[in-house]
Amino acid sequence: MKKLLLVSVMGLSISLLAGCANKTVVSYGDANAVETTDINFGSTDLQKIANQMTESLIQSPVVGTMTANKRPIVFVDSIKNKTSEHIDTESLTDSISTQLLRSGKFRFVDMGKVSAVREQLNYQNEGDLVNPNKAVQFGKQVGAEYMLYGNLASIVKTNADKSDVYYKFTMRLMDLESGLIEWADETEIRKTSNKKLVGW
Amino acid sequence: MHLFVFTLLSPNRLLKRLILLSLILSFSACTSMGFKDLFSDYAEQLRNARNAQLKGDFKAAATMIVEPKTNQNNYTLNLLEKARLHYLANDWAQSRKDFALVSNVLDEEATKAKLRLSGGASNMAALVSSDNAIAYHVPAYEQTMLHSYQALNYLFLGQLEGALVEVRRANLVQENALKQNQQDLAKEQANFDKKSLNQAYPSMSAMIGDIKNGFQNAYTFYLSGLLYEAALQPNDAYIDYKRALEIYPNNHYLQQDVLRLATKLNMTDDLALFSAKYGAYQSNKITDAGELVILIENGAINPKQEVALNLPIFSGYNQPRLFSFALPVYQGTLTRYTPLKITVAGQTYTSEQIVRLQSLASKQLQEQMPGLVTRQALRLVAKEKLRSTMSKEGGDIGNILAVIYNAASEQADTRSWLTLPDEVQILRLSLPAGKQLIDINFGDKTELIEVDIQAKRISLLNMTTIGNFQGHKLTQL
Repeated sequence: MKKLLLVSVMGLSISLLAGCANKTVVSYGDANAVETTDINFGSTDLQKIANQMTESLIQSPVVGTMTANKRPIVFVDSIKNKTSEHIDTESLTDSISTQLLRSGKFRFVDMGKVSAVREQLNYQNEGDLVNPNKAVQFGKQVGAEYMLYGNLASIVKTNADKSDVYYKFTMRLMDLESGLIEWADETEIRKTSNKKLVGW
Repeated sequence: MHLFVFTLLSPNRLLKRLILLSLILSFSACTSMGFKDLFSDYAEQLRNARNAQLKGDFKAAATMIVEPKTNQNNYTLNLLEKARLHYLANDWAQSRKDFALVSNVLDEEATKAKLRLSGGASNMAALVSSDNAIAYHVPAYEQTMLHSYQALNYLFLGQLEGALVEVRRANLVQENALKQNQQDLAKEQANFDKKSLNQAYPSMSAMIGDIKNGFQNAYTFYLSGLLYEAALQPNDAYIDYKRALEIYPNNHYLQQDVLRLATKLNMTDDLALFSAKYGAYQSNKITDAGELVILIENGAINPKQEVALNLPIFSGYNQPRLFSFALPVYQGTLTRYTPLKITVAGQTYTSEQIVRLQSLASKQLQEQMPGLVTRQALRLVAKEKLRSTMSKEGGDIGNILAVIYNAASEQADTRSWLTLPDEVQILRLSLPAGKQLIDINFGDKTELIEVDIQAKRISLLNMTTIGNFQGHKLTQL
């Protein structure tokens, strides 16, 4: 009887502690801290890929000669998501192009904004509202010389005890005139999660 | 069939029962179950929504589904029903959102600890009520359909890359189910006597047909192949078409797709093998042809029904006693649907089956039956203990109350995703580029559909026939 009472008291206190109505706590953290909430593609993976790729690109000897006297113009094609997760690959290309721009060695054109630019130029040149002498002229934009593109692939394996995911990110820089690949590199990430034996 | 059950509780006071009951309630407080879930059949709860679905009023049907809440046992199930109805109502964004919520739950489940206290608690609650107290477990065939519909949602929203992610996830589900199935089979043969159960339980062989397991879904593989073809990855497409063909070797469209890609990819060995089986590949003569692929969803899957069986159990006393089991079962036979016919340039094309979801569901139920019976035997003994205690403590009134509670709460777990179609058929043909008017015959009706065919591209037509409703959605891959 005593035992049963003890068990029921314990049960009640557990359910109170674990609480069906959790109180949320908000706090700030380090944006570069290692994140291991779950096995899915996360911020640490994104940062790791972006950092390694830009570093490799900037330090590559071919790119060194390419950027010795001028700042080549690059356009970033989208990165193809070949994994089994929905990943925002645009955010990945944003990180890479921002870091490359920061290095001061490259210049970029943004293909995602072409239609917005066209609309603005149309407004400046065809409407009567803008002073024609101060309107930005058509046909003055500079074309890209290089294209940066990539693939993100993954292999996922799961069994009763653990899950394992392997990501491979490949990136290439193509000379648009000659069609030659001037630079390529890849980053690999492996993550494993072991299932706990006992949990709530 | 003989099941030996040892109960640990030796009852002597009603107070103990009450403490135990409150303990169970406090444990299971996080996953709540409505009064309705405990005492009524799932198909009964869904009747109004299903009737609306049969009439083609999908928006109204979606509002009739219980509003999904995360702490309910039927959270995933209600979301699945809602998402499917939104899909039928062409509300792809909402459907995608609901399916994504189910995906999240499934992902979370997969990473949870192997032995779970909360699982134990809901099992304890199930021990004194019924299996309906356990959170709904989404079987593999429903998971593959979830990802297939999610892929279609992405397609209709114009995102091929997202659709490809979903078909890859569907393939992962099938691979894991295959692995799991092999392990389970090895385990089961060791400690369960299947024969005795099969003698008493109604045979579902008419519903199951000749399928080998309850999770391999050729439709998902076909959809995946189709999307890979659209993404200009013919090698990946070839692999998935081949996997679909393995499941449905008599489907002519699959045979042609495999032959076509084997030729294109120069798979010499495979090509020799397949040509010997299915005849040589004849390439299409139309120049600048585009392709039209039609996915036809027919009917609605049947609900599970409850069947009462009397099986003997040894409950610690010497004499076996007959207990009444309430078990879910699929009854009846498979419905035959008239295939869809298209006549183009004097040639008639007839649609062919690629998946029979009703059979998958029946097979899946058959596979989980041993576990279900074991759980129910435990429950019946627990309930019998409850009754005898209440009879001792509360006299006749206690006895009557316990009998009423036991009878009312003993419900077979008849939950399953009910808004799914019964079967899916496919039809594929090449057409010259440009706007084409196509005469489609199904049943005794004819419909004229305008399709914009683009050279070397695939147009996807998704047709649905449920009850009196017929509808179609069209997209360009």
